[in-house]
Amino acid sequence: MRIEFKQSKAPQFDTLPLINIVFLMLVFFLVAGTIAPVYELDVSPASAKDSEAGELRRPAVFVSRDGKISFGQREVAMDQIQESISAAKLDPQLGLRIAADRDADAHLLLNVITAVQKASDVPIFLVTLRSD
Amino acid sequence: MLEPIATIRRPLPITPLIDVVFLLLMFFMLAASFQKEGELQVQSAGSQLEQATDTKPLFIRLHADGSTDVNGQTVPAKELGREAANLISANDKLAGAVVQVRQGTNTQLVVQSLMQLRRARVEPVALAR
Repeated sequence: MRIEFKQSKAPQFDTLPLINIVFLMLVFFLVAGTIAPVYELDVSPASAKDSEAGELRRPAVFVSRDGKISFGQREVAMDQIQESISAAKLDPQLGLRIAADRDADAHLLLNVITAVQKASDVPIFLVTLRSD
Repeated sequence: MLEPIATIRRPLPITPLIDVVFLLLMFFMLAASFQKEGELQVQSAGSQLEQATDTKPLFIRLHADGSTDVNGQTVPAKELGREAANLISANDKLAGAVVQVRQGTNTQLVVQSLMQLRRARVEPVALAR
């Protein structure tokens, strides 16, 4: 008597549903997400529920939680800010955006704001995260 | 005579396609951000408030431990806006506020307080140290 063994076939893996899902996820991330801005200092701004929607302009001044300040994509010392800002000739229509970390020392931020006000009369905006 | 080359229809290989789509997916998953940025106009004391001579600003202090006070009265940080608006509406000699930031306060408390004052329509608000 001959016993027939079943040929063990590898099950055919159907890739089409997989691609469908991956495409759907791709489209979701393309549509729903915006490319995260890359800041030169590690800054996560304070959250404020209904602050005004900011235009998607890059902040010019960054204040990090460990007390570092940067302006124009390079780090500056506190006593050089006023000088750099008056040299930069800012557009009063656009104003100046400051991104300060939520845990940054507010006194440092205030010093920066005062220095900017002394150097130029552009409106100053603090960047917030609208957590809604 | 040349024989016509038989055109063989091969199924389109989808593996490279999936590879690329996976790469794109990875990129957009890692680079996407769902947080929306907002902005809040600020000014430090010294410009506008000094011009108004017939009215006085409220004096608000923010402390390092997260407590706040309005004209010396301790107020919970969440009630700051309402309390300030009440005081201003009760006294027409009062307008606007000066927010004094004490040593060691963090930026979150400042932003939160400014947002409350704005919601309560207390204007103008200036920061001081």
